[in-house]
Amino acid sequence: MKKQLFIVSLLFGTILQVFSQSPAVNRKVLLTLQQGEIIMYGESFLSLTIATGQVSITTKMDDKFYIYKNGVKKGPFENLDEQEAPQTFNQENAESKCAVYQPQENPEAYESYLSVNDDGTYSITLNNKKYGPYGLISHLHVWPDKSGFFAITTDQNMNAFLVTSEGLKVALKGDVEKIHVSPSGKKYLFAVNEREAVDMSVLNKDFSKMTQEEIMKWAKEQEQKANNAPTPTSYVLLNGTTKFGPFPQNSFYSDNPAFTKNGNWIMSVNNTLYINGVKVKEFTDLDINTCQTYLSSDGKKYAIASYDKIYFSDGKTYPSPMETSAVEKDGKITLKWLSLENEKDLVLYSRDL
Amino acid sequence: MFLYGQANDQPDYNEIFGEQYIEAQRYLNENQWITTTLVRHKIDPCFAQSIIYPELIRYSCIKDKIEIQALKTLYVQYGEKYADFSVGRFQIKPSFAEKLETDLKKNTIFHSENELQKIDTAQSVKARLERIKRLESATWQLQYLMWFIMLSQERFNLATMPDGEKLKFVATAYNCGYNKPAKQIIEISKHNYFHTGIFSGKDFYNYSDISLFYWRNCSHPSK
Repeated sequence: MKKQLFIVSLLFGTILQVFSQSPAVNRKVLLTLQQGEIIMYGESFLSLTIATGQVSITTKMDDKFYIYKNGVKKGPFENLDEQEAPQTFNQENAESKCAVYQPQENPEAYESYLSVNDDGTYSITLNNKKYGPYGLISHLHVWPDKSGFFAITTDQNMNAFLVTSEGLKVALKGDVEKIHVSPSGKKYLFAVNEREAVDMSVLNKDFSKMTQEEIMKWAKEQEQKANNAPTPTSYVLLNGTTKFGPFPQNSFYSDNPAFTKNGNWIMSVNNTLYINGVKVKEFTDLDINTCQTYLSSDGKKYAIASYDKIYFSDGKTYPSPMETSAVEKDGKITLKWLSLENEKDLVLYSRDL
Repeated sequence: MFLYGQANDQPDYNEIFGEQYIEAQRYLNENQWITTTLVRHKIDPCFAQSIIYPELIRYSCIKDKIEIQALKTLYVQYGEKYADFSVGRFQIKPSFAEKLETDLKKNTIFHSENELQKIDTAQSVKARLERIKRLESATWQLQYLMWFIMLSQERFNLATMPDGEKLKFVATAYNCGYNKPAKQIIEISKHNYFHTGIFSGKDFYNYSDISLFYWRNCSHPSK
């Protein structure tokens, strides 16, 4: 009996160990710098082609330049003009480096759906049906199959509304941050920053007819009103119907919140990570940048790269990722990152999420 | 409000830099908090903004081409050797910020600056990480600029200098480093070392001349 129990516990222990193991980390030294050789300061001299694991860098040693390209070192060069132009940075690469989904925007694509009415208002016409009128249309997105749309509109009093072809009309009570549409093109989300309450009666007040005491009294009342007014907050709206928040005002920026390339969505509020609207973890020793946050396809695993470390959701951290990229194959995400170890070894790491 | 015009045979930098010059001006116009913060600290907004104006132009030129994530990581990891790259609109180098923090802390005049006293100037990963975060913040960039102006006034005998010369001197010191002797800074201010590319190209400009051009055309109520 004791023996059976021992075998069962041994098996159970092994199974637990297997399940708790983090994915293996592959480490490959791409090149080794010489003593005193440093990677060039120039802002665009480093490029990593993740697919091939090849790296191009320019280095400097004793006032001479060296260029490493595809494993081959060339130099020394007195100046860089002598040599072929080093790998320069391009915006396309930068965008693909950001983990969140950033489709190319083309506002003109929707112009054909818009029309101006005689009274200066706007309408949207889709599938022979006219929607509106709207005071102003600041954003329009038509579904990829052209079966419907959502739009951000403004009325005469400058109040913003979300409207959809399904008849949804939601008052937004604030300023809309950048609008994000999912890779499928049918989900959308954005943050709204509530505005400070403005007392419109001030515009009609004739101060010239008021005494100094009256003005002082009025100013004091206004100050009291402002102090008693609720603090404006921010919130996130998903698909027009699901609201997340309130959060402190101005918690969000252009890529926060945002969809990931695999259709999940993330946001960071005061270094607390939310995945698909669910609070996941509050970080005290890591700054979350959504552009450097990578998610598995099911949204359950993640990694966050920062200047001093890369953190995986299984708790493992690895130091100083200089450049990080994610590669997706058959729904599996593999992270690759470069690290300069001992000031000389440029190492390429890779690990599944 | 800003007025334009050529003065004293100076090159018309508004024309030379075109859209980038306008974008730099737009940035300052849209960020009035910069002016109000400077006024609150009794620093002439025209003077301070002129010092960093060439950097604002350079930032407008290169902002879509720079990728400094790797350099920030290397600086946080290894420090000094990798501290010579520029961050943000004011194009402040970590090495500049590090030196400024240390010098200010040594100077008893700045001991009442609470924000300064909180700064960790140790040579550690943690301190460098915090410094990078500060340099990424517009508020902190302005703070560094204000401290730099205050330290320059303290370090160099600027009181007797005519305003235009004073600006040229401080702007050059901002660009080339204030740790040089005054004589050398004045000499550097006469030369064209400034370029707006990522790498030095063929076109070089005089940093302090651009500052002076902006200053002559700048009008704040305080000027």
